[in-house]
Amino acid sequence: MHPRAKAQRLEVLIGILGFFAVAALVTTVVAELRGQPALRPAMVLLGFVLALGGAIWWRRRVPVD
Amino acid sequence: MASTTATVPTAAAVPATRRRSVNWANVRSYLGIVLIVIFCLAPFYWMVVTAFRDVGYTFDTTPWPTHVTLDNFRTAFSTKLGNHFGRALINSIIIGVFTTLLAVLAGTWCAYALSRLQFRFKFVVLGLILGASMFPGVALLTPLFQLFTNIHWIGQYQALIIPDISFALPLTVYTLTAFFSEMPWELEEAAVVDGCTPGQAFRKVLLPLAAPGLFTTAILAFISAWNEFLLASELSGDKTQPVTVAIAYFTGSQPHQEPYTAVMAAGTIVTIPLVILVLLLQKRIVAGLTAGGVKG
Repeated sequence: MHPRAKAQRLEVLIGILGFFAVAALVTTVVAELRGQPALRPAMVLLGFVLALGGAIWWRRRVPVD
Repeated sequence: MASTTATVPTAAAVPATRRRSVNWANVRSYLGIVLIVIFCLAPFYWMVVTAFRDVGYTFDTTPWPTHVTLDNFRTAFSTKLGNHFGRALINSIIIGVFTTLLAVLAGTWCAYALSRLQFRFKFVVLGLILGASMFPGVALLTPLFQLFTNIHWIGQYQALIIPDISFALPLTVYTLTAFFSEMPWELEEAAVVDGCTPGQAFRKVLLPLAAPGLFTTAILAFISAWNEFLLASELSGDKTQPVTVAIAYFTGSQPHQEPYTAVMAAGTIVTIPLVILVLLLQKRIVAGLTAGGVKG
């Protein structure tokens, strides 16, 4: 795959993961502020943040002009 | 000079087994197509047939209506039993038109930026839009209900239009991005050379050329808004119910009796405009959905 195409696909993936990471962040913060159990939203947030970090790291490794 | 002529075998000379050879691959293909068409159209056909059946023969199993009547259509529009189908139709048209206009307006600008402008994180924005379209609608139900209750929008048109726009916008952006990507750059460059600003080149050159794509996108957005039921069932009020909710809540003359024939008549009325629209514009819809799929 051409490096630019690979970079574009990774950026799309970053966008998708970023959206769900923000949604999980909002859910976790709201649960915490309301004093409700927030472990599950926090674990989901952790998963998305790790996946997002991995995607960003992978994107930085792709050489683009 | 010697010449050879090819001899054409006569029918009598050709063995019988070779005369008519059945292409079984074609037969299998057509059989599969027929089965799929029957599978897809059978419920719609049954709905139309039941719409014309007399109430006493609702559960007849004959494939055609034996006691044909138009009473079910009159019952569907009647308000004696508390059903307001006519008003629901108008509500659906209002919601569909406003959703389509606003989604196409916003989607056009976004699609132009994504397809014709170069900026950092362009594909991240595309991914955000894709992620938003993946979000399950049912997860939005409770937060939206709470939000619209707090700001006293429950039962108002805007409580239905704004969520519908959020569902239609990703589809609009993606379809129009593909259309704008196929527009030749030379036209825009020529317009700029002739003295147009980029905005004028977009409005006066690109948009008229993208009219078929805009039209297709508008149809898809309208169909999406017309068929929406999940959020409408919770966020609409008695006066703003769209047709999907009105049909689901149809009441019959008896307390625990479902008015199946009236529901089927209402469903037929609701479906026919969309069917006609899609049949007339199916080539444009397919072109819109497959735009950008093939290079060159």
